[in-house]
Amino acid sequence: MRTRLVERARGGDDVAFAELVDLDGGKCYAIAYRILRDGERARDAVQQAFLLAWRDLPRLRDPERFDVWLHRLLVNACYEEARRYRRWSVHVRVLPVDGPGEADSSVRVADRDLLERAFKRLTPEHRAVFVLHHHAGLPLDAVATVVGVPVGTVKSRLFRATRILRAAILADDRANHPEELPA
Amino acid sequence: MNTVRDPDAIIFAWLDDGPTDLPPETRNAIVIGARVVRQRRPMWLSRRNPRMSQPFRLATMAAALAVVVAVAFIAFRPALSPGPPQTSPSANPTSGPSSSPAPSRSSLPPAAEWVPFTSPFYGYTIRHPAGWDIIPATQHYGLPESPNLFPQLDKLDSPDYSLTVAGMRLRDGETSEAWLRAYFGDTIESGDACTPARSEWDAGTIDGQPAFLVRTCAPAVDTFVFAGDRVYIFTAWAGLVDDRPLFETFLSTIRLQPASAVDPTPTP
Repeated sequence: MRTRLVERARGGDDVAFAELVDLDGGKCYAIAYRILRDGERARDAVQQAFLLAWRDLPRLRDPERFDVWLHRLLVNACYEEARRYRRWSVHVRVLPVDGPGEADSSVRVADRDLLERAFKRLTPEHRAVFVLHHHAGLPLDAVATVVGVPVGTVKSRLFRATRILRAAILADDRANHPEELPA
Repeated sequence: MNTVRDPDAIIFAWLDDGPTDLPPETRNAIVIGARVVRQRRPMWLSRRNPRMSQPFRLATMAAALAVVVAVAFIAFRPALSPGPPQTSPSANPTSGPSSSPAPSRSSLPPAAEWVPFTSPFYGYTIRHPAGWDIIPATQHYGLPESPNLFPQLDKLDSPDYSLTVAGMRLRDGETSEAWLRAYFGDTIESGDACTPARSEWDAGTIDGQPAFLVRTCAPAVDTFVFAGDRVYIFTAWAGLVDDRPLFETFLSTIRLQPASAVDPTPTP
């Protein structure tokens, strides 16, 4: 069913492509939002990834690889969005950053603030690996294929990202409850 | 009583927070965009018209054969004259190893036959093969009110190669070095996962002005050129990324005209 949709879209069927957008759009948006931590830039990244996918679909020889290919386009679009934001943040310094407005309240506001700040210290490449593995549930070898780096690099990025996020929480806990935490 | 908290549980709860549905306006923008954006079809995948009659099909095949023969003749004929510009006389970056030629490079006409494009905003002229899709920028690069980068780029596009260009005026007193450091941030010397360390950049000149070529993870090759009080960013995409000689041929056709650039009117 899905492969058939990809084949039809590859042949220029924009209705089939719209169905693929309906099937995958939410997942892609969820990934882009979590990498970029910004709804507007995530929407731009998803739009760019899908339009690039549409444009170059005829070159995709194996429809079974559509998911990996789309994820790769999405991650690259996120990198570009992150780079663009960096340019603007340097030269213009006016772009607002989405706060917790699009998230629910199952995490304490203080924790979320700590994690958001820690996460934004990571490079987009570290964020992408963390989100693809821990949120999208891709195994390490699949993440490596999507981001185009060896599995060992994926592991080291995951390790660094996790360490920085854990450190943010633990440092806060030490500050508030020093007697309850191991040294 | 306080308890020791599990940081991983907090991290994963935080990661699961957030939207999971694509906003309808974005979905619609994609679907409408797909009706407008033309698909790039490789040479090996041609569309067939099932209702094409046999005589018409034969005539089409004969025409296609004639085109192939003509293209082959043009591509493989001996060079009649050196004809400027053939290969990068003014672009002189230190070339790294390049991979095999891009798919249909042999179908490109000689650079001497390329036609000029003059940017409406950014103050430069570049030459390109006739028949390419040329989409000039409609917005100035770096305008904060536009979240979409595409309208801010001059785009030179063909099925196999793509080139985009942006430019901006340096701030008063800003040096090229200061601009590069602001652009790349703290990792300019060390590089990051997407950008090589500065020591790995290629340096050269374009139209006599200092230039740097930086291959990024996009994958793309960003070329930064400084002239007068302006910086230009010429970016190679698609087949140009791995075909450095061809990209340099494009760069060799560039004529920088910073005095003719049009900058956005400052908002009060």
